[in-house]
Amino acid sequence: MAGVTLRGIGKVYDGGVRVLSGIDLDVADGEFLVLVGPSGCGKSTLLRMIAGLESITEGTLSIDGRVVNDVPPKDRDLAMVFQSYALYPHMTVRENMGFSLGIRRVAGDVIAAKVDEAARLLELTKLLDRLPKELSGGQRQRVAIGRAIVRRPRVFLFDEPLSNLDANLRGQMRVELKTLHRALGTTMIYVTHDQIEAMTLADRICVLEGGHARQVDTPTGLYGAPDSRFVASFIGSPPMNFLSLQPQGGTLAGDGVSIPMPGAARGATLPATVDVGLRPHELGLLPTEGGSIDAVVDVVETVGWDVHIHARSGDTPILAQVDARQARGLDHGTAVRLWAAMGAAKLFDPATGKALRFEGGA
Amino acid sequence: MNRKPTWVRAVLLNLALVAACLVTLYPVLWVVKMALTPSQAFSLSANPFPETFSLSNFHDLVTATDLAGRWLFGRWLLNSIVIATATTALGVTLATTAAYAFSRFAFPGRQLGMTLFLVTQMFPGVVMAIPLYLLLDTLGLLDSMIGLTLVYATTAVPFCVWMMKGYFDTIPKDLEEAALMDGAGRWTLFTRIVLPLARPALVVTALFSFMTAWNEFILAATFLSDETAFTLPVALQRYVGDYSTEWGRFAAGAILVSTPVMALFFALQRHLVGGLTAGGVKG
Repeated sequence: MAGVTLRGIGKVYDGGVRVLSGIDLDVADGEFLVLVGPSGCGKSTLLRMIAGLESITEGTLSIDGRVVNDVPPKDRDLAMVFQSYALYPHMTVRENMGFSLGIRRVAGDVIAAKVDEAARLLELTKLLDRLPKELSGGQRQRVAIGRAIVRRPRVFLFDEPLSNLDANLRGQMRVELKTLHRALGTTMIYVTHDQIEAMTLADRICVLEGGHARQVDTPTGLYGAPDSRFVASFIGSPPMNFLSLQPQGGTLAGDGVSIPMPGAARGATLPATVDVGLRPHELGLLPTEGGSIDAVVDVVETVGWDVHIHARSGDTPILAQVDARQARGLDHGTAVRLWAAMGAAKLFDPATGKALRFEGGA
Repeated sequence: MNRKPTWVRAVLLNLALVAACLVTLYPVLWVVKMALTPSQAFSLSANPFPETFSLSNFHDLVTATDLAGRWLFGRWLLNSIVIATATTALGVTLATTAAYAFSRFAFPGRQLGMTLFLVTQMFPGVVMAIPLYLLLDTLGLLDSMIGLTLVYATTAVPFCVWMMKGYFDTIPKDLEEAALMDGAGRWTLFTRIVLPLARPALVVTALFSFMTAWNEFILAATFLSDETAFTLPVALQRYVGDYSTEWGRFAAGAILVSTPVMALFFALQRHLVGGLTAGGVKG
C-alpha cells in the first residue's frame, strides 16, 4: 500500500510529439483515483508511465515517497489490468494467477493458497484449470483482475478494464471493483473514457484534456463545481447544455431566452457574452423562478421514467430530461417553453472556457 | 451455379487426389524397387513394384569399409547427424534471439539488417563455394565438422530470422507488458511467455535448419575430401561413378538418408498448430 505522487510529469516522444505536460497529482494511500478524458488526452500514457512501461521525459514520479522514474516495472511493485486482458494463452487460469508469485520464487503451497483465496474472492474457483480461450470475456476480465490481486501489490493500475465487456456485465463489474477496493483497501489508479465509470468508482477524479490535467476533485465536486466548460460538458450524462447569452441588467438574455442573473454575479464585471451551462435534468416543463428558454422540439426519446426532449433554441441544441407524464403530447415541431431550475445556471467565459466565479460563491 | 450432386463431387475429388498421389509416389516406389533389387537383376520396366526382395544393397552400403578396413557408413551417419544437429542448435539459438531483437527493439540498422539478411538469400549456394573454400582453408576448417556447421548456419540463420521475426510480430505486446508488470525480467518473459507461444515457428525453423544441413550436397562435396569426413549425401554420390553406377546401393542410401527426416517430421508435426495465442488478448 502506498501513495503515488506526480510532480510536473510530461511526456515528449522521440519525434518531438508532446502528449502530456505539467501533470501534478497526489494519489493518497488507499485512494481510488480515476483518470478520465476523451481519447487521445494522454490518460493511458500517463498510466503506463506510472507503471514503468513508458519512460518519463519530464518531472518526477514517486511511490511511497521514493522517486521511481528510472526503476524498472518489476521493481515498482505495481500490478496492472489491461484493456485486452493480456492473459498468458498457454497457461491455465491457475498458472496465470500464480505467475507473478512464481517469478518471485514464492513456495508452491503458498502460491496455491493465495491463488485459491483470490479465486474465491472473484468466484473463479471452478475455472482454475481452464485455459483463457475456454473462458468468456467477463471471466477473462476476472482472471486478469485475479492475477493482479494475488500478489497484493502496493498500487493497482487499471487501463480501461471494462471497455470490452457488454453493458450489463460492465455495470456488474463496476460494483465488484468497488467492493474489491473496499475489501483490499489498496491504492487504485484507473483509466477510463467513460465518465459514468469515473463517477461511480472514484474517490477522486482527474479530468485530462489535450495532455493537461484540467481538474482534480471528488465526483460531486466535479459535477457541482466544474472549473471549466470542458469539465462541465465532459462530466455528467446526458451532457450539459450551453447557451451563449448577453448579460442585460439582472438577466442573461438571448433570443427567446431569459435567465435571471445568479445573485453573486450581480454587479460584477462580465464579458459581453457568457456561456451559460444548464444540465438536462435542471430543465423542466413546469414554470419556475429560474428563467425560461423557448424552443422547438426535434425528437422525444422515451428512456423509462423520464423522457429526453431534444429541442432547439434558435440554432442551439437543448436537451431536457423531464418526467414522462409532463411530456405527453410533445412531438417533432412542437413549440415548448423549458424552465430552468432556480440558481442552476453556471457561467463560463467564452474566450477562456473558464468558469466565472464571483466573490461570495458561484 | 451448376451444382453437381454431392457424391459426384466427392468421387471426382477423390479421383483427382488419387491421381496426384500416384504421380507423387511413382518415383518413390521406383526408388524402393531399385533398393530392393540386386544390381544384376535390375530391369527397366514401367512396373514400380519390386519383383524381387533382397536387402543386399542395404547390407553392402551399411557394411562398406575403406581400404584400411575402417567402417564407413557409421562415420558418415555420425558426421551427418552431428553436423545437422549442431547447425540446428546454432541456427535456432542465434535466429530466435536475433529475431526477437529485430521484432521488439528499436535500434539503428534494424531495417537494413533485415534487408541484408534477405539479400544473402538471393545468391545460390554455389556462388559462395569458392570464397567459402578459401575462408575455410585459411581457418584450417576444411574437412571438419565445425567448418561445415558454420557454413550451413550462415544459410539457415537469415531464413530462420525472417521466419521467427514474422511470428514474434504476431504475438501481442500486451502479453509481454503484462509479464513485465508481473515482475518478469526480459529473459524470463522471453523464455516463459514468448518462446512457448512461438513453438510452431520454432519447430519449423528447427526442421528447416536440420534439413538444410542434412540434405546439402554441393558445399559438402566441395569442402570435404577425406572419405571418413563425408556426410551421407556426399558418400552416396560415390555410387554414381564415371564408368558404372550402382543404382541399387544409391537407392538404398537414399531411403536410409530420408528416414530420419521423415521420422523427425512425424515427431514434430503435432507442434505445427495454429491458434496458440487464442484467448490471450481481446480487441
